[in-house]
Amino acid sequence: MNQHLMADIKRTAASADKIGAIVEFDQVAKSYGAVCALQPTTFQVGAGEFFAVIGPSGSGKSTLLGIVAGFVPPTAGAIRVNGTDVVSLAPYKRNFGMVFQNYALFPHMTVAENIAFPLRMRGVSKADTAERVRRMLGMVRLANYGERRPMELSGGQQQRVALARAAVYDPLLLLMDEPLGALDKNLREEMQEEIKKFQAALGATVIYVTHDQHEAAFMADRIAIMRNGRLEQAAAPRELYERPLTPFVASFLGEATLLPVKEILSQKGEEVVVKTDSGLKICATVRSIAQAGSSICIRPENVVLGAASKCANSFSGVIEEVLYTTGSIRYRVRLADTQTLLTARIPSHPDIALLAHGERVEVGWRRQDALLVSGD
Amino acid sequence: MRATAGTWPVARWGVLGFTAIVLVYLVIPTLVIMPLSFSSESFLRFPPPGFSMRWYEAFAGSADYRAAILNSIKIGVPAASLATVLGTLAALAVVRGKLPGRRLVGALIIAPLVLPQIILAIGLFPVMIRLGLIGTYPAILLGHTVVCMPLVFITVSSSLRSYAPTFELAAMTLGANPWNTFRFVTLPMIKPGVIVGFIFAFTFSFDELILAMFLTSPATRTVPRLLWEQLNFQMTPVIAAATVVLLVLTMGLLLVAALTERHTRAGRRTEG
Ligand SMILES: Nc1ncnc2c1ncn2[C@@H]1O[C@H](COP(=O)(O)OP(=O)(O)O)[C@@H](O)[C@H]1O
Ligand SMILES: [Mg+2]
Repeated sequence: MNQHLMADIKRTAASADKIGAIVEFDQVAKSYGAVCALQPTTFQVGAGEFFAVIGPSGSGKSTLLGIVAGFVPPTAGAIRVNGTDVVSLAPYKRNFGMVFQNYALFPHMTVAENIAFPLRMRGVSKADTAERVRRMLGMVRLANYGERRPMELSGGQQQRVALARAAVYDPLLLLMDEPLGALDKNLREEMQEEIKKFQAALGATVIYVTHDQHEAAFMADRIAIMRNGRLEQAAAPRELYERPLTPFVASFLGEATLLPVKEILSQKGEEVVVKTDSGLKICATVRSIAQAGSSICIRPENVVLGAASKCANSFSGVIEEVLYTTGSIRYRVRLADTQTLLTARIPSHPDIALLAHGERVEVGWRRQDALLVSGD
Repeated sequence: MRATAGTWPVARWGVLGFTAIVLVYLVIPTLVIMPLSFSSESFLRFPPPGFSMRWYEAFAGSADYRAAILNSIKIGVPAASLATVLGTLAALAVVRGKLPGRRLVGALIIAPLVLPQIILAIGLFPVMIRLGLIGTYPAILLGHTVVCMPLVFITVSSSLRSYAPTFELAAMTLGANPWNTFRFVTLPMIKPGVIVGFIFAFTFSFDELILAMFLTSPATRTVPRLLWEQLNFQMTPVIAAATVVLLVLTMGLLLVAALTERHTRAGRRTEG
């Protein structure tokens, strides 16, 4: 991002000392006949918050966003924006900005006409419109592209036009449905930063749907994880990663070895000793009352290889798979119980000798690093 | 289709051969008309013994033809306009709407085009008599609207299907009410389909004979009906000259339609 843009953004930010909307979801649900696209869902998005929604395809992310935008009438529940229920309000009266995955830029209008469109719908004067379009084009670094057609721009440029069009009327809430889904990886990362800065300048609340967990973790203040039309957990990225409530959350965000628990042997406060389905005895940590049928979650970077006897949990195993990824080495270790396949990741370094396939190795992890999570 | 033809050369040659036969049997007779219209003789004979422009002069000077052409335009333009409005609305309802049984409705709308016109003509004839409209402009105008509407319905439907409804959703989030969404987004997007549909509709009405025979009177007689009547008692090359004029006009309009379509398809491609 260049100096010029930063200056532009700061100037706009100074002039727009407004704050985004508070959005409350109150038992919002949607079914299509017998298909339940969204189970009753309640959560709140704070003013100016960047709220990401992630989950596998078909988990109800777009449905959730469509309900907020007004395309999808909910079967039940209320959505309050700054205290007012918007469910019965037509989409064009809601005054939210929305960015679509394929941008949905009108091909028969120029870039400037596209950005001017929402102002034109609002009866803004010609002079005022021209000024705001010009400022917006500067903000997304497309000052000289106003007369082009959208199809003459690159994917990233089209994305920025879509952003400008959705923001030119200063909406208090911006909705984005996989806005970077069509871009290649490098451009996506560049745009992630740009969108973040853009949001900071606007002060708007953002609800951002993506299926990319890294994108969500990088951009969002909080992330909601959806599964089968249900919101599994909504929390800050770090909390979500370090304290997942369910095995699904644990495996969806980052990588995790999940060991199904057969029996709780003892619990003392947060400390718990369990026996896994495969018969391993493991010392673990739990946030609430330990239940049978839960799982142990171990993050790969918390697994210690070799000299593991200091750990509360220490086992011997055999290397089954070695994979070098940039900066780290990923091992899959078959534990002595023969059923458990543990994933370990250690930072790579020229001094470290790779362990070979079939080699015996001591593995271990601390009690704090084995998290008991409930549910399936 | 193309994959099949490409896989088996036999199939490709078969298709080519079939196309050639169709061309020979359908197009060549049409082209025979052309030299006939320049004939120097006063009855239709092939090959013509000499060249002259006299039949074109006769055609241009004929009050009957002039009246018939005017009638054809007076019927074709409003019928095509009406068909364009109704066909576009029907396409919007069937492609974008949520009404139940949309497929069935779509099939019913296309029916007048697929069914033999004679059936429609036999059905409309007593109805128009009952309404006291037989032989008037509204009678043939309505009849042509019914058969032209499917043409517009088909071209506009395919325009609507060529892009995702996300554009309309986007317009709505940007503050456009349903009418403005249609006016500023949907209509410009389907414009080629609407134009091509109108041209098809007008050409169809201009060339249509069967409904015209049942529903027009000498006062509202169209060009095809006049040609038909003249064929029955005078076989002069004026008919050939009139046919050629009709043919050139129709081909010209269809060419415009084809160009409109190609232009937009080229535009879409660079966009995609
Ligand atoms: N118009 C619709 N009619 C019927 N089912 C739908 C419709 N839209 C979405 N669904 C269903 O609702 C569920 C959630 O879809 P969606 O919200 O699009 O998921 P996501 O955006 O997370 O991929 C899916 O099972 C999908 O099949
Ligand atoms: Mg989706």
